[in-house]
Amino acid sequence: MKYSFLFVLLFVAWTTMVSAQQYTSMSGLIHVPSAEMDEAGEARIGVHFLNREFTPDEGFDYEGKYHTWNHYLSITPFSWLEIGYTCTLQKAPKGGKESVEPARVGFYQKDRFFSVKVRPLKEGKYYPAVAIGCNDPSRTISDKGGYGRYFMNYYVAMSKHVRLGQHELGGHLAYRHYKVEYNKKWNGVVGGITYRPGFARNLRFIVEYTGDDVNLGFDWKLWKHVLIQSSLQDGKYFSGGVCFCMNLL
Amino acid sequence: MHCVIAHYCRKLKTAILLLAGTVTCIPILHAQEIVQPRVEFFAGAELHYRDLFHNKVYEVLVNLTPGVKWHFGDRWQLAGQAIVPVYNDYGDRYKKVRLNMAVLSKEWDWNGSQFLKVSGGLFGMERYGLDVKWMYPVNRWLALDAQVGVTGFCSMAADWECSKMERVTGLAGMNVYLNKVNTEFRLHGGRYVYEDYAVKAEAMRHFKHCTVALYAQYSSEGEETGGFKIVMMIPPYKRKARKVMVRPASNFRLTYDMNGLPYAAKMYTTDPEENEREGNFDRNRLKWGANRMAPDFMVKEGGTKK
Repeated sequence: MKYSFLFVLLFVAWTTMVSAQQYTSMSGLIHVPSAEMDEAGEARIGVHFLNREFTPDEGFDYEGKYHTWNHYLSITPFSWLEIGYTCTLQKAPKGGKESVEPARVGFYQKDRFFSVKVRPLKEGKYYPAVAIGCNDPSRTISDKGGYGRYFMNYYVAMSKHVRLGQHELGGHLAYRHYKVEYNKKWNGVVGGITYRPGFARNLRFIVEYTGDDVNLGFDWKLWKHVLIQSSLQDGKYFSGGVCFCMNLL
Repeated sequence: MHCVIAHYCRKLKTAILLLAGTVTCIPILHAQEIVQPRVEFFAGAELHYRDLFHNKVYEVLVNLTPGVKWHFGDRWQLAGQAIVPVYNDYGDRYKKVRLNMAVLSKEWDWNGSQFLKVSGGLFGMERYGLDVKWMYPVNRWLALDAQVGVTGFCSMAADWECSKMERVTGLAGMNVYLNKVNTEFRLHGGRYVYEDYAVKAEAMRHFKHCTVALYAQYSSEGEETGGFKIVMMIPPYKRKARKVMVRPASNFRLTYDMNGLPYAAKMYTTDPEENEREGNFDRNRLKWGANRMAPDFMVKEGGTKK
């Protein structure tokens, strides 16, 4: 109830803005990737609140799962390539898990990963855009030993938009594969529908299926540079964030 | 008779066009000539951060870096820079206000085909000695370059600490520039400042006033790693032409290394404002790479609008 109220509050408070993003700093839906891309030259820097239901079941479970935050930046150097970097805070006792004396527990650790998305096929009149991408590909480096692959996944995604007068409807379908067992619930075919109303082109409503949950949300770009996203996972659990966007071209 | 008049009319028209062209060009040439101030005072900032311990998300070191450049003609330059710590998690060694760079340098070029820069003095990364940089733009998209230095350790962080000037470093490589998309690829290898042998590949996209680069490297010191770099040119982008100019530093640089290797593939800097975007040579002479883009900084005469 508390998060539903926050969701509605965000929606009502900023009725003059619009746009889209994802907690990994990349363009997409909420938890599900899409084949949409930012404009060439677009850079983002921002923070996101991640509900404990939103994060993987391991790595974010110190004495039970907890809400956390991440911060990120991304760049779209070309219209077909997006690159992002995300740092997610993790709870740990001060001094590390090896600490002998009872220590204060806080966000003293973090998980960092890169994201890459490439779009080989741009959306046409009769065919969808196709993109392939991954989060945390660097974990394949052998000396990591597989530790910390909390967000590591690969995907292929398709997106197609249709105009209904001034309005825009988008269909998004993806197949993704998480490498670790505890994220298998998000594997397989996932997707969503987006709606961009004609009266507010900078606003986008999202409904998505993650393989485990149905999420609702919106993203909104305000004053050309501020992008917010607000979502309710499974209709109940709030996650959301804000980022600063700037086109460097 | 009619033909003769027509001939003289054509000559007169050509003469008028030439005269008009000359008159139009004079202010432009003048504007370019006034660009270079004699003395520049500037101040920038450095952000260092590291992630070594469990009990802190980051340790941060923020320094102010005021500096001065004195251009005393024929591409001779004397540059100096100090470090003023503002916030320091790195420990006592980094808490003192100290001299960071004091470099005398001279540039040459031969008909715009080969470029050479020789620098001597106190360099960045606590090195002193001599350094030579060379660049050869083969064509509009390919350039070769190399750097050789003989340096020693010199630091004023905890009193004076020096070693003999006997460490030889050198690297060579190639640069490929795709003008249509303002994208540059660099491949360099050699012996770096901590005596490691390394190969480094970079892909950088130059935007208006900003460059973003991804890199990957292999070093005998730290093996493989990668990361990204951001070079942001600092406003104001329009400056007033003065003999003595006071301004912010030209750029702010940030490097993120995945494995945070402090001693792998590092090289000292010989200019207080050295960065990957602007390169090492005078952009008015070296028309290659990002220098072919519109300049980041325009100089307007005496503060009046051109």
